[in-house]
Amino acid sequence: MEEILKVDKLTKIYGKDNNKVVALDKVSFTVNKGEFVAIIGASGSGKSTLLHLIGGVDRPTSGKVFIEGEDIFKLSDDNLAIFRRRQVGLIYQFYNLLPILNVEENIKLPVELDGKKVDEKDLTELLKTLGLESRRKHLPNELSGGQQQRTSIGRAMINHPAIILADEPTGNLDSKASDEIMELLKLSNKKYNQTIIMITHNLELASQADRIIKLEDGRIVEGE
Amino acid sequence: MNLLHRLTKKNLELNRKRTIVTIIGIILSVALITAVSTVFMSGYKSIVQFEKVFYGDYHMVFEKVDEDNFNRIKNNRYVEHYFYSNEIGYSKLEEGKNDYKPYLYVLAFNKDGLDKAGLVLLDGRYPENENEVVISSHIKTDARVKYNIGDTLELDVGKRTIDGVQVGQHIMYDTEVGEELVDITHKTYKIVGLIERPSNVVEDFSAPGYSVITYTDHPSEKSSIYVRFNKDGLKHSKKAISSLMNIDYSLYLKMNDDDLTEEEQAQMVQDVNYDINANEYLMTLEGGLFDNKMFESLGKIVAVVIGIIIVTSVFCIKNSFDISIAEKTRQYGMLASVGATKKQIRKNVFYEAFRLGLVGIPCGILLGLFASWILIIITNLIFKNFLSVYDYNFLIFSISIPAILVSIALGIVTLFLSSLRSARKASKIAPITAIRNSEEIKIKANKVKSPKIIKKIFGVGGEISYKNLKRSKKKYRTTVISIIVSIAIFISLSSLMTLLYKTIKQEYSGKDYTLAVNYRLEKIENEKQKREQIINLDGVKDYAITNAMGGYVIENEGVNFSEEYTKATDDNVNRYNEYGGEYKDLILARVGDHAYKNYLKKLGLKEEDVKGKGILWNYAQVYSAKKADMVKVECYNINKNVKTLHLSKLQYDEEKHEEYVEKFADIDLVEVTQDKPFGVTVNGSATLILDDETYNKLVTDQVPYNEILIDADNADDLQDQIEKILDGDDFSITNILEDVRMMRALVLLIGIFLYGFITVIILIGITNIFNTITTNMELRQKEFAMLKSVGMTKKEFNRMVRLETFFYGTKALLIGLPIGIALSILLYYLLTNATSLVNYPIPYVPVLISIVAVFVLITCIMKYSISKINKQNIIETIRNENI
Repeated sequence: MEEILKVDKLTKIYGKDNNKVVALDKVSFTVNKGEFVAIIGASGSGKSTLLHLIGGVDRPTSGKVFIEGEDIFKLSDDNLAIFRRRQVGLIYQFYNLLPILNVEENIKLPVELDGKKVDEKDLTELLKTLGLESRRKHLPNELSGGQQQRTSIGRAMINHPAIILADEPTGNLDSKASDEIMELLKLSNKKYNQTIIMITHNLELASQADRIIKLEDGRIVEGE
Repeated sequence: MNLLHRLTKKNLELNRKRTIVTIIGIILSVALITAVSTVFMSGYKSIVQFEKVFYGDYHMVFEKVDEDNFNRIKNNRYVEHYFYSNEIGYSKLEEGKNDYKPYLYVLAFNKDGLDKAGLVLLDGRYPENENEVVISSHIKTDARVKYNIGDTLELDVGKRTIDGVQVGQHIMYDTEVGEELVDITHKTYKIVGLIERPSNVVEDFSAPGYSVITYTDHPSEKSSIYVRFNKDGLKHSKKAISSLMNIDYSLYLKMNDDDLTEEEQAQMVQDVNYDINANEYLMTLEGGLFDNKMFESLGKIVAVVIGIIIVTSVFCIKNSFDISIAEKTRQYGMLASVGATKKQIRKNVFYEAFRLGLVGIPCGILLGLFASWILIIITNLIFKNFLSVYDYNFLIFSISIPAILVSIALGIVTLFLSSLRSARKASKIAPITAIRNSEEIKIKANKVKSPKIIKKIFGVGGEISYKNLKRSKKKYRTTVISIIVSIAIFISLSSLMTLLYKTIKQEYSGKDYTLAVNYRLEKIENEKQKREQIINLDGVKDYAITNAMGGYVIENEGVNFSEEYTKATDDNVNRYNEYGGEYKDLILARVGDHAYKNYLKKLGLKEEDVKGKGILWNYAQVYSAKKADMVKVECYNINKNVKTLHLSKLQYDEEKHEEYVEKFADIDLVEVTQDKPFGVTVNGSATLILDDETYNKLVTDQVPYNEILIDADNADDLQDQIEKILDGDDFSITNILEDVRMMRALVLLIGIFLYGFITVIILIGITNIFNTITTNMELRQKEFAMLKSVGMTKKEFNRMVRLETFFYGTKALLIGLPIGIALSILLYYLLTNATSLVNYPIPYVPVLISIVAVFVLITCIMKYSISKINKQNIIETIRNENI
């Protein structure tokens, strides 16, 4: 199977001297294309830090991350940003949509940042998949939490990235909406062979993934 | 439009209030720059126009050239335009009262010349044929010969010669040298108009003939040709001049440096056998704006002013970008996390600036042009009184394209500088901040400790507001600095105004009269009767009939120069005392019965007590080398024991070429005062005021002379009436009202400009304060909601906000007031000197205004923000987790 992500001895230390906190301690693992990986761990175990490093929104103290063979921390900030918008889709617990853009515009954002035009057929199909077809012109605050999260999933998927990173995507939702989101993620995983890495502390949700990586005090204790 | 741009547009529309306020800031700043540069350019154009109208629209004049030269000059490639004049000749003006101007000088201009030689028509019209003339007005005022429009002039016109050599207007009339008019022909002219005395190129200051100007339509064999350079000629004026003189350029340069050999000099005299005069001022004015000394230094002032405007505006506008970035931190973080590059984000901020500028700059330009148009109209209205006779507008409004382009460029620079830092800051926002909640608030616990006293005095609300201030120091710093800048500028400039007014008031306080009539008694027929007539005229508010005599010396031991006097003259080698400086000079003066009695009343003295005694006006004006100007000081320090002044008189021994003192008189002293009677002006030493009888008895070696000083509102009318009464007599009359009015108008004008400037700077400051406060309040909505949710009542909340207002209002005042006062003291010392009698005016009123205005302003803005916050639902605000 094709290896899409390789994490190599990734270390992240916050603070200095006495205040030193080792968030990640030489974490290494690989993810293959089309895999749906769940990362679980208690709060403070370093799972969010790991996700941010993989997504290239933060830089490690040491160690490497390869996405499709590319050592992402060797890229300049700008190139990393470009790499991110093309190859990584991020989904946050709090959606992080731009309140003044409507659903469609929020989803189109990464493509437009590339100065490209969105293929209308693709977009319509995506909106249909997300179940937001009738809401495409709505602003985020006119949507329910689940709908907002689906919009942010749409934004993550629009560029067909190599990898989707989801940070507690259902953390802020009720169980019905959570189920919908999980279905959607699983669907994209199956339908588009989309690689997904999801952080959660909900074991039930984690169990729906292909593989579970468990973090404890910045170390992988299970699922390496 | 791409998505990012659309995002910006939406953001701007969403924050309409702040967008509008920011645009107002930009408009004000650009308008100020435009107004300053437009007024500057209009001033320049006005002065060029003024020069053209009053001194002539030509750069060089070649006098009495022959036909060959005439044709050569008029066809020269540097000449844009020319006109010419022919000398007709001189005619004796028999009734003339000025001994040094015994002639009428008849001169003919062609039509263009009448328009462009700087002749200013006061009445009637210009001559249209060779039998009509206009005469200059000083034939009436100076020579006191009355000719009226419509009169016929019968003149015997000839050439003015000295020892057989023909001479013109440049040679002074000397009564000792015999000169005569030859080749006399009789001419008859009809007077059709009255002109102002022509400029000194046409009629020299010491010209012997009054100008009488007629018309001609063809050059004579010895015409003077006046040329106006074209652009090329103005640019290369030296080349143009040498070319017009028909000499080698290098030779011309040598001549300019006084480097010619004798041979060359002789050759030059032979080749250039005519006089050349230049209208140099116009030439330098038009040659290049900044080649001119006055405009060079004015330009520097304008540059400094524009610099201040830009710095102030950059500071203020920058602030609104900063706020916008702070608000949008999460937005930029999110954009970064979905892959926006730094460059894209930077560009986004600049795009925001671009959109704001797109509206603000054109509006600013228009507003600036409008404001300068109004200013120029006002200026012209103020100055109308002085130039009304000419039907001439002092300032012309000129829209200068380069000035506008410069303003646009500076506006863009201002905006660019304003957004630069924000753009950098925005692009540096790490994508992680979008995920974490906020980066703006970074606090260290020990930094927000508040003194216990605050809690004691102001309660919990006070403590929280104090901590808020400390926590968001940076945010409030802009507000506080905006207030400080506004206060400092307001206080310093308004005390500058006060100082200007005071100085001018003092400058003219010596001159409490508006009309001065001078004459020697023997030159007036029926002097007494005419004097009575004058002082009884309607409109005479107060008057004095004065005379004064200097050259007296106080010999008393107990009289010494005052500290003020010594201080003012200390560094001064040439003490303001023409007799060597060691003498304690005194001037004796009388003011006439009327003014003297009023003076006694003012001092509370009885006539019988002072009869034959003196009142010392202990006040003098001396030259201070330090200040390079005259300063007014208390003159003497007089010991209380001094009851009688022992006076000597300075005399000059013609044979020994020495001065000596001679015992003069002892005069009892009744009073030493800083008060003066009406009509006496400040002198180089103290003045002893005497009653008429005593003065006349003591001062015997003086030509009987009167100066009638009159205070009147309608000085112009009165002047006419007095001139009528003294018609035919030898006298001189001075109208000071004109000067005073001119000065006052000038102060008013400076006031309008300064206060206009203050107003706009303060407005920029207010937009800034408004922006920071309202946004800060909005950004803290969540915090306020939290406070309310834990049970803070509306009353407590309002109290907390009020306290916050009070805290930083006080902080701004504590810093702003001293800076403003320090600046005003600095200005005071720059403009006056320590010895000036105008004491530093403590700017109570501006300080008070500042204090009240600051609190009223902040309270209003806070109230406005609170009213918006109070409308919001607590839970909604807290739960609103979106960006």
